[in-house]
Amino acid sequence: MDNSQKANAGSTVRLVMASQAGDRGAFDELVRLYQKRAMMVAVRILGSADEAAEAVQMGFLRAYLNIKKLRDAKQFEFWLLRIITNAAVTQVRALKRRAENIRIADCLEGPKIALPPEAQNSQELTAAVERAMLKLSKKEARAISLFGLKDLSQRQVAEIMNCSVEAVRWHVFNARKKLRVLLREYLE
Amino acid sequence: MRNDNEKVDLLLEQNAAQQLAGFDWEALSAAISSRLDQLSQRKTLVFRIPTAFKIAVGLAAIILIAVMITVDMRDDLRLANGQRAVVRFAGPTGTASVEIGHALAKSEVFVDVGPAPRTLAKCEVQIIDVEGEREKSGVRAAWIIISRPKPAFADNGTAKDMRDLICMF
Repeated sequence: MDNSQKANAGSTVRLVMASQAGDRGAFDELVRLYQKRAMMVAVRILGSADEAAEAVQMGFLRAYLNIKKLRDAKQFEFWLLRIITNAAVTQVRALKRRAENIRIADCLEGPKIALPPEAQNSQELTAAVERAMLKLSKKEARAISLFGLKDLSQRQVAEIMNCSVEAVRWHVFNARKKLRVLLREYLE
Repeated sequence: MRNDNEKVDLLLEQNAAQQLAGFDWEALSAAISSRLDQLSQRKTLVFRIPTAFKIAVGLAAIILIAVMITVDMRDDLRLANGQRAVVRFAGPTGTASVEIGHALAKSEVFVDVGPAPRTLAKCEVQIIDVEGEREKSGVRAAWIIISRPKPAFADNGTAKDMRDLICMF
């Protein structure tokens, strides 16, 4: 842990303790500190930033409501990431239901407006990732998204997911296997 | 294999980076803050509601449920001509009313199967022919057979045992 990380961790502990004492301003500061990290994980689970933002908002609301239950303020980041991944996975279920409706609506829709090629490619990739992530199990989605945060060790991912390191590796292996098939046209 | 895994990771990374490029972080923290404000206001509002009012609302809900259950126990049925229905006499008096819904000759039939035994209370009601001529009094003749849904004494096929008929009029 370098000095800036130590300083960050120190301020997090102070902010968490202040939030637990009812300081709203302190919690707002925690939101500003951790929203990027939360979004990184949520986007990897949900594919699109809009959906991820909704999950992140819900996650922070839950964190605010339950912050007094957090015993060790040093564990705030892992605790928050657990809440965020849970919120994102819940959102995935809602997305699955919505995807069914969209499939029906697509049959009734007229011709679509053509987008510039670059935007079209980016949109296609997002849609493909979104669809592929819907095919993963909850644990696979959580494992692969947390694995993407380079500074988290496998042990830390296991801690967030509340399972063994071996289980994390297994979920990541399965997730990659499924994604290789589902996203094969984008991998060439 | 390793190369493929790296490609998958890279693709997810690429998509996440694309999605978050130019993302409005200020707007996100403002949205969260606004939701937290709403949440705090709602919590404060709940705490402000007097306990007596909460108790009154609870009592009103219990009374409403009790009334709904009592009303349901009366088992009022609206039957069209020739329609069959099973009437369950769940009320304490063993009385059920069967209303024959007819535009011209609306009449009501009250059935009393007596207080005991309760097992006799479940019966089948069949209304036969209310399309006949109207009598001078304006009341239209109708046959109503009330019988047990399953024979209790002897199974005579489609013909009911007389002892399974509770009343016929």
